[in-house]
Amino acid sequence: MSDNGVRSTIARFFDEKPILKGIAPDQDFFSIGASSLTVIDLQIQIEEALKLSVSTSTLMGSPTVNAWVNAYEQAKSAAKEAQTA
Amino acid sequence: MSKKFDLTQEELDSFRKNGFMGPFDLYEADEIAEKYKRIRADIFDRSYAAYQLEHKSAIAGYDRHLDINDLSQHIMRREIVDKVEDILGPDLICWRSEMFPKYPGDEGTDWHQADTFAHASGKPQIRWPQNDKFGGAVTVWTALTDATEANGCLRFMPGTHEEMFYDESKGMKYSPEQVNRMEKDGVKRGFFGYDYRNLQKDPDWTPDESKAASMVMRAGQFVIFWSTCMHSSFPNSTTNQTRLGFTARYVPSAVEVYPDSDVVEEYGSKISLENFGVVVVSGKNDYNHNRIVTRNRRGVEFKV
Repeated sequence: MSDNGVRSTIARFFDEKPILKGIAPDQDFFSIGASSLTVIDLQIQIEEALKLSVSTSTLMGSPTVNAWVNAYEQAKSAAKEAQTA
Repeated sequence: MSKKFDLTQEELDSFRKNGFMGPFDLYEADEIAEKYKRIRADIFDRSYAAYQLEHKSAIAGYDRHLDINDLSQHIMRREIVDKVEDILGPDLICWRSEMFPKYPGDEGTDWHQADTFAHASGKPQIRWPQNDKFGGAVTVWTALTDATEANGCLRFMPGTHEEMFYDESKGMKYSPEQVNRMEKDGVKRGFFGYDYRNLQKDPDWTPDESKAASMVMRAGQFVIFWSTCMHSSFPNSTTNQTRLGFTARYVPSAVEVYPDSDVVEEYGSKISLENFGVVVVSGKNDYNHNRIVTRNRRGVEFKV
């Protein structure tokens, strides 16, 4: 996958939540009525699939698809560096 | 300290008659939008929270004024405290705060009144001095988002604050599977997993909703009410608008908080009170019955 799987994985889980289906990449998902439980659930699913971890407060401070993709891509890079170090 | 934000005599008379008043302006639109964004993110950081709870706990929003700086400052705002002083007197504590989100599709909140706040836990959470005929708390509900009839604004039953139609000692069964599944008189509503009708003194009585007043609020406004004033909220019938309110509950420092309790168990969660403390928001505290905290759990002082 050209995006290392991060964006497509995140997009897939967002699409599975009715209130988030088709959300624009820079749309604040709290502003369209997403609940904290929905978002926490989303975080758990994404982290299980990607085998990565980002702090909840970081994610909730930037509640858009693009910001989440960036956060998980950084976590992925950090994990890769740690492996090769 | 001089008081700048007193109630007018007319407002005070209205409050004594109706049990609620407002909305009052507190934050400008830009300011509350920024605060809302910050608070919304800070809610998920429980590293300094007073209680060890999962994000999914129904009481995860309890007492976040003890660790979220914006909320620590909010409960001390003179625009609020000056008015509460006019109702309760000069020596005041804030003993509880709560977040009240209502997401698209969420049920409305049942009509209810809170005197001792024993309704869910079965144990009184506040105890006024003996033989005092008053009870309850003065609650300040601040809208962090707009609150409309469509997304679940509050409703009040004027003049009900001096008579309890509910007996909080009767006990209710916690049934979280019923959340968002019960209709009462044609309206989807419940009480966060409980059925508040179980506490009615007269099981056959029904609130006369024709007398109810809706409290439509702009984000940044607050309303003040006696917790004993019968209140409820509409369901959130929108598909894309969250309603979020933040309540701070105030009583005189003479009131004992969580008497004879080390833990609170309600809404499917159990919390230890070892990190709990009340905040003196105004005047002084001449009593030893409550643990007082002067700083929040991040070390920030509670001050005006």
